[in-house]
Amino acid sequence: MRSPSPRPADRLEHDVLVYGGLEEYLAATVPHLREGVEAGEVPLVVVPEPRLSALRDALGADGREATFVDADEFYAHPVRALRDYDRILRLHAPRRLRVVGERNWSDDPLETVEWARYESLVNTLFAASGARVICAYDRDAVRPQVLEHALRTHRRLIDGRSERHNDAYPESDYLEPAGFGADGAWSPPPPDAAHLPFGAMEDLQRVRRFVAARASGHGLDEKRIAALETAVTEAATNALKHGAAPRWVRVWRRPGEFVCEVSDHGRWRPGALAGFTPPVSALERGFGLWTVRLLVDVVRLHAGEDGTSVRLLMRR
Amino acid sequence: MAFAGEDERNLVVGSFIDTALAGEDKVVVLAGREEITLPTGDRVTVVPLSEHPSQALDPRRPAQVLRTEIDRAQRAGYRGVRIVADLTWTLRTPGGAGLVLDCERHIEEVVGPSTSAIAICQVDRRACRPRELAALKDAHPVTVTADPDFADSVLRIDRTFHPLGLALSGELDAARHAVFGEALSQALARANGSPVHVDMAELKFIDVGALAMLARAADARPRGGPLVLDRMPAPVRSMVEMIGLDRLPGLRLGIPHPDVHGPDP
Repeated sequence: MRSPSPRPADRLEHDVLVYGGLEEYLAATVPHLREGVEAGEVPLVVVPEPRLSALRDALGADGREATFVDADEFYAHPVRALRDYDRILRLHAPRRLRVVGERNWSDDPLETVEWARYESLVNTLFAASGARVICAYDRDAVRPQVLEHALRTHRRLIDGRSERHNDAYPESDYLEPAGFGADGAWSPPPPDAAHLPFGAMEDLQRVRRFVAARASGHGLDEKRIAALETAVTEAATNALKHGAAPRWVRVWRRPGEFVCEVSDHGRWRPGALAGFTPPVSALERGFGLWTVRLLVDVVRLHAGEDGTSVRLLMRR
Repeated sequence: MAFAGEDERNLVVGSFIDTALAGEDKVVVLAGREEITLPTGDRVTVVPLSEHPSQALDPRRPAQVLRTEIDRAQRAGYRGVRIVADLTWTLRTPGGAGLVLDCERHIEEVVGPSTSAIAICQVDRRACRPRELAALKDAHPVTVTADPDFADSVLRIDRTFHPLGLALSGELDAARHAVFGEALSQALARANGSPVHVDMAELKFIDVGALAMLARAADARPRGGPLVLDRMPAPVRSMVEMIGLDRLPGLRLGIPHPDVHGPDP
């Protein structure tokens, strides 16, 4: 067993708690939060009910300082959750955060991988924040793949009896979840996908119209269509600025999902963190792609031999 | 004519009145509650339409006043009559937009057949919802405007004077970044350090790049004032909220879009 590396005070502690039953849950999370209150840290609880209320009750007066947030709202979208943590960290700096987080896991494998990536990104993006975070996983409720990802993305494991270094943790800061990478599995668009070539900035308006009309036919509401228009304009602008002809946009439907893909023949290679890092401001590079990730439900990048594609997914 | 500030109004109305005075015409101004600061005298008559804020305007009154004034001017031997009417204040009274359209229909009935009378109906577009403005434009055969900084079939950029800045309408994406950048830097230069307002009420689309340009321009100002984003339509506003205003340094939210107060009457 490797021994935990020495930890400077400002280093993120991002632990996984695998619990069974409320008693075990509270036995790990309540002392964690109390310790934070005593140390003058900012306590933040982002968990689903009924554990939200249970933690509030168990903390009693010690919870006065804490902020309680319903996880279903906070953890609805991974990039927005990263944005919100970034905001909270900056708001309270130099005070540290003391967090208990937990989300309701769905059975959607794509969503599982997205959130695995999120847990991995937390390690990199907030590495120097000094935040102390426990992410809780209910061993009776989550699927084995979810636990597997959890063990790959957290340095320390708390399993209700002891805390120990998590041997499954790969000791690299950011780990791309398997099957989700820029070069991961990529199914081609269906042959009946609607298709519009574009070649100049003057075509951007037409690209928006093309996508909006079809998204509206798919039943996306006005606000989400506006978000998709902004996202597709940004992707098409990037293809025009950095890609190579020919360029086109394609749209198609999948059950419960509207997909919009912008492709060009350029050889852009997105980095693993492309667009996931909340920029300090719009003056920073990467602001565009980050905004695109906020605006749509899922962004997938594909850089292949034959060109680059950005796929924007909107769930219904 | 739709305007968004005193200077813009004066640019058009001022020359309209100057032409009238130079050409021996009579000028009739139909005024609202606000004081009108025009030189009055034999050549210029200012007729207040409403004495009291709570007094509702009778839609036939402006036309009656005009008929009297046109007759009087013709008897006095004036070659023509130039009429300036600003009914913007009526928009915010009960039944506003419909009332203004009613008034203007009656005015048109008086002015239309006359060979000697020309009228400019003014609307302060800052007090108008886009749908109201569109209805007013439809009701007039000719729209008079100050020259825009830039206009094509996709985007229009007007300079505004009170407050100082720009009004955008249409769609702004990378195809128009260059002209937008030019107009923006001129607006910043004119402001000389005071806040610069960007009126977005009629903007249908703005891309992420243009928002970043605004932030960059605000950041690069050698001194002072923020860039204030006024009357942001709901889709633009939800994008800015998504990004977080804190990531757009130097940008401030100004007055809300009129549509956020509720549906059109």
